[in-house]
Amino acid sequence: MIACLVTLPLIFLPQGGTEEAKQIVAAWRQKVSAAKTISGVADAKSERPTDRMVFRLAKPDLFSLKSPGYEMYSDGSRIVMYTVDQKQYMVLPAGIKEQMGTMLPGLAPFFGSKVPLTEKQLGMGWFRGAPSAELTYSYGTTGTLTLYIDKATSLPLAAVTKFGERSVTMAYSDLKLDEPMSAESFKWTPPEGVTEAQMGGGTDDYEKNLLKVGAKAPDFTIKSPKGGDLNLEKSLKGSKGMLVNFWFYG
Amino acid sequence: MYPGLNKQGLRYIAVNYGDDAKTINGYVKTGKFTFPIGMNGTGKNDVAKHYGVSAYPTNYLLDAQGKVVARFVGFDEAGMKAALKKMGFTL
Repeated sequence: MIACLVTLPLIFLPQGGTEEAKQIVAAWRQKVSAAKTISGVADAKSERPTDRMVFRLAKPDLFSLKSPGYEMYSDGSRIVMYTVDQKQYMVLPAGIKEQMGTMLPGLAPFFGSKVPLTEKQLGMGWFRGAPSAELTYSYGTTGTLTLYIDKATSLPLAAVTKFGERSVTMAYSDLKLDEPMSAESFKWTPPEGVTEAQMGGGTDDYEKNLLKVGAKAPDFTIKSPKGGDLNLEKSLKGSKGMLVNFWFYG
Repeated sequence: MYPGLNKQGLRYIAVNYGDDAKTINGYVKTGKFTFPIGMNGTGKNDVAKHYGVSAYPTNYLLDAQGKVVARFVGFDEAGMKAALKKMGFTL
């Protein structure tokens, strides 16, 4: 049903609404970047059940994000990520702040960051029945990120990421701007039994722990989730290079 | 971006940290992901540990001999493209 609501307006997309869309996008940038605090909810809907992220943001560098898999807290002196299932937390590099606009693209102006992508298309559209500016960025060579900015409020309604056949809709709700938030409310202490994950060094020393440029990358054999093994040396054979990516879904 | 680079000889391994096989397969299922994904192991195969990785995403670009050419912490598409070009890949 939701998918229908999202795709239908594309068919009936009105022409010539670009000027109006420009104004809405400008109002969004202005409003969100001028806010002192923002709180709200972002529901990401993909092939997994909805992941709900509840967030509170306060300038200059306080935030908390809570989702079922992980929580992130910045109290102004350090940023921690708490993986609930693993009962562990780790201190993240301070540079992770630069990624906040990527995590919540609809609120990127708040972080003083532009969405670090190329604007591709702007027009009027709808998101779940609400008239909105529809701003599409290209993402990699095949992906797109579309922001829906509410015509009525100039606030983001959703960010839809499409990558190949995959599509993730992050819908924003309950957005509140400029509510008073105390610095105290962003303090986080590890719950009983939660330990700090070993990352040696510390926040800004992160890169010191990585393999050095020029070093031989240690060989490994790991299991594929579909069964079978993946071996680095074997994969390198006959190659011109290798990208080893570390990720998790949460 | 990957299919074109794969033809040019760039290989790719995605090391997943902490998710179970079911979660990863669910995540990958509809995405037509063509590159290999593996789950971080233990001991000698605790790749995240041996590669010093604890922030995600982190990417290593290796040459054909397995030597580190560049490292990327976070989403650094521009940096990665530049490094790939420097290695002689066409984007």
